[in-house]
Amino acid sequence: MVFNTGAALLDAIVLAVVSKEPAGTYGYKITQDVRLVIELSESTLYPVLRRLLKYGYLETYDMECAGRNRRYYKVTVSGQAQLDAYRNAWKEYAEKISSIFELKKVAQAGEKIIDTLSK
Amino acid sequence: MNKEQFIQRLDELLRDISESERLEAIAYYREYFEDAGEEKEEEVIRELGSPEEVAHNIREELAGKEIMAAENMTEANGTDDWEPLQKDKKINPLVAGLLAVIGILLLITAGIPIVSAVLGVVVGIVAVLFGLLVAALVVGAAFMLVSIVLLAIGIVNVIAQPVAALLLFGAAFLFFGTGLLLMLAGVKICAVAIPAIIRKVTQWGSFLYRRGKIA
Repeated sequence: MVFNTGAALLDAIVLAVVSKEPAGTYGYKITQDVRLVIELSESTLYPVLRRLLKYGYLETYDMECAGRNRRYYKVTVSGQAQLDAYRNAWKEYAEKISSIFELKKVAQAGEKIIDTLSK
Repeated sequence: MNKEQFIQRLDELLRDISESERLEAIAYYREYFEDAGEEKEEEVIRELGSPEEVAHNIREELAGKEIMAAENMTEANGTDDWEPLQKDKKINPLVAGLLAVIGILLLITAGIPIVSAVLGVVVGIVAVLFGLLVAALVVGAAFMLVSIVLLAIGIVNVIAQPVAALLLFGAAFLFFGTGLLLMLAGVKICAVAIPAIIRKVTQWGSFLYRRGKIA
């Protein structure tokens, strides 16, 4: 992708992906789901999960699966609140950026015409 | 490098962080390999990059530095995504220039006839109004003149033909009244309508002038 996915946006995406599974989801699945929407090195996700755990936005529980242990990640109440905040912030941000992109086209065309007229 | 070697190497690289952090990370990646399945082992190793890269990311996060997805992407994917966009960027001024030329042509071909048509209509309306005004004044004056003539004829004949003279007086007053009305209307237009029109036109003029200055 052309645009950088910053830490906050990455947090928001991972929170959103995990929140889609009310019962919890595991590392490999989260990575695959995130990679459906953004290009991301696989080694990036563990630190993000660790950070979200540290902030208390995610919690884990272990469950046996096919004879081995698997760690599941779930969004906490404060994680859900944080996700809602991210969602609102993103909406506002995306609208502002879009409005600038659209306006700029019109303004550029207008400036060109005014320039040529005033010469 | 296989899965075991990868994890072994990662374990060595993380010796300097806390025991619990290291065990957590190793457990995560062991689980990750298992969930991906044996047939995807090589793919996972390729996509994880090197144990050094994985260890670096963990250490960065522990140090509280922000990890950006794009940071790793530049190494992993190179810049091939970027190229077409840069080409687009180079074309942009050209497209903008073409659009400007088309805009000017449109302005010249469509603008001049439209402007002259609007000007023609405005001049026409002003001329008609002016004509009506002149007509009202002239007709008013003529009516008053006629009324004076009729009055004079009536006075001359008042003794010889009193009835006809009275009729002439009546007609004279009628003409005088109508003429006076027309003259008053004309004067009123001069005093009120023309200054208003002039004011409006100067307002437009200064508005256009100001816009020209801003542009």
